[in-house]
Amino acid sequence: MKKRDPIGRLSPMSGTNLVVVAAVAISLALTGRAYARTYIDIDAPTIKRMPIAVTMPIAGPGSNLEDAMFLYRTMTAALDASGYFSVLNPAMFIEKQGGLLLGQFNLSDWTDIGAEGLVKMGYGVQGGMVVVKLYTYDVVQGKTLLSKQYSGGVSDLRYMANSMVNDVIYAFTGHAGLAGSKIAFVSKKTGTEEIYAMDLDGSNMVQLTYNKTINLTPVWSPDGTRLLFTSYMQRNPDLYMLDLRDGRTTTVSRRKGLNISPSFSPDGSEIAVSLSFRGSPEIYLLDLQGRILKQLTNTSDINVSPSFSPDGGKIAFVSNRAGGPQIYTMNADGSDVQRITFNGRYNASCNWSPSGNRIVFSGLSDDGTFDIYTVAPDGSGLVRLTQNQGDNTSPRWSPDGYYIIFVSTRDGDQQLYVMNANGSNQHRLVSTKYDMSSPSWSSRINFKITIR
Amino acid sequence: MRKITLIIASLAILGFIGEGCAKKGVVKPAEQPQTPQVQQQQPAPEAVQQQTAEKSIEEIQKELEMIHFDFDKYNVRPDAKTTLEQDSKVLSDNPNIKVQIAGYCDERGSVEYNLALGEKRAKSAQDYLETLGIAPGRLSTISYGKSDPIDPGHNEKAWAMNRRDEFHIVQ
Repeated sequence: MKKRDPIGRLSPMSGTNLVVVAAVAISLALTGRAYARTYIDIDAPTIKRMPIAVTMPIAGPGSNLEDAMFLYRTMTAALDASGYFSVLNPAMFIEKQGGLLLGQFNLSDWTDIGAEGLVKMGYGVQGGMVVVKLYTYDVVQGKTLLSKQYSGGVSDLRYMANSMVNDVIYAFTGHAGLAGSKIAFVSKKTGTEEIYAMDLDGSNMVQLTYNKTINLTPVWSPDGTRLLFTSYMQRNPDLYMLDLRDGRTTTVSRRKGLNISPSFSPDGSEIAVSLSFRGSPEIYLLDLQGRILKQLTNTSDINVSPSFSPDGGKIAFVSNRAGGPQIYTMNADGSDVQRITFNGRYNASCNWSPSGNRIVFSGLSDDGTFDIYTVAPDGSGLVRLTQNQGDNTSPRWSPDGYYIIFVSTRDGDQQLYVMNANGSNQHRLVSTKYDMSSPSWSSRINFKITIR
Repeated sequence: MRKITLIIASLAILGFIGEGCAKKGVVKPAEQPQTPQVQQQQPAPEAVQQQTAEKSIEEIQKELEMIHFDFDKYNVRPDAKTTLEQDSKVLSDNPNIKVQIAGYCDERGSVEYNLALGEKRAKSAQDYLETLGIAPGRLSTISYGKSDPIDPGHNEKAWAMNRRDEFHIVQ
């Protein structure tokens, strides 16, 4: 096998080591497309990374090196971060100037270097619009898996790249990637608890609150445009909503006592929240302006952490009405309360899966540490997902329900980790020197976050 | 009462308690002579009474001792009852002050549940102080959940220290 200069014209990428960010595995339910073969089974307990080659975009008319490099870097970093692929070093490439289409290049140039998948891109500018042609091949079988054209303004290049990554991941796994979705979280990076957001690979981190008090539990709206959170900015744990499109923060509930643990209804039109202005923390349904639509629990105990079922018909929540905190479900009008956890004396932080069939929570295990568990909404089929790995808390589903993001102290401080819904492939999301907690995973965002 | 300007609790919220205490608030500034040094540890009730009118807010604040709780509990423990009885004496002797009771938890468990637990802890102390005769209008509550631990450790000693109510003079 001859080693050749990698990609030629556009850029010398040889020797570039792409930053290996902790793998993020992701997907959105896509409909209407199916491939006969699943190359990578993302539900498997362990995933063998598929060797994939990505060539530099072949430059067409009006293109520039910078944009081509951006596409290449975004694509390779995201494919690596997905955890499904091992992106081959261009220094290994044999092909010098192959074409984009099957038949215009030698499959053996790729199979000889161990590639199983191949991504090729063509790139040009036509009438002020960027046009990218994306091809994805199974080079072992010599099959075209994906052939698609993307276009948009130059400023849309990031979103186009995210779409392309998601489509490539879909071609190999049957599940579209979640490139373009974001993680909101709390960190004491600046000394006080503030809210941040970042991409799945830890890039593009932005600080969203700056009030230097205490800011807690950010929660995305279903469409990713807004965040609900609790803040002490006015000396009480009050509920606020931040619109990420214009950077505006509005007050949702400043009632006496607690205004905490918010959650959007699946259609984004209502908020379930715990308020204590009448005495005990009870769960209420509010509209987006904070007006009370209905009080859902009425006890003298603690009731927090409401989480809607995906059809909006039910709410899981945490109550200590039986002594310690346990997970309960009720109808969205507060009727038919059912306890669903009975193992252990402390089960909290519940989150209903987007698929509807599991509820994830954090429970105190017999060994005295907190672990992540899932259970069916009727209380059956309890599964423990973490063990002997420090304290594991604040589990939240990815918007597609394939993954769970959570906080763990397994490496020391509180950090964010991701695992498959069945507990496999646990890995740290991003390597930082500061603590990270209370994650929330957005749907795909295709607008620029505005901060005031 | 209105002359007392130092709002210790709010400063504490902002994390400025160290600098904030330099600013003095005094109960009766016009009549204030040299303030005798108060015994902080276990002041005799008589001594407290004698010196009431002459104490600064900081001195009264120091007399208000925190109480502690068991894991996932908000009932007032017997040892905490003794402390609350002393605290209620301080409040009785200083009728012009109002107190915000701040409930805290250790780092274990969920952020949301601990916020609720902290409020239950603050309200337990509020209820007990009221049964001891402190006027409800003088007491308010706030929960900080597991935020602002006083011991940053990750062990039972730190947790026991952090499960607490603090009594912050607000007026």
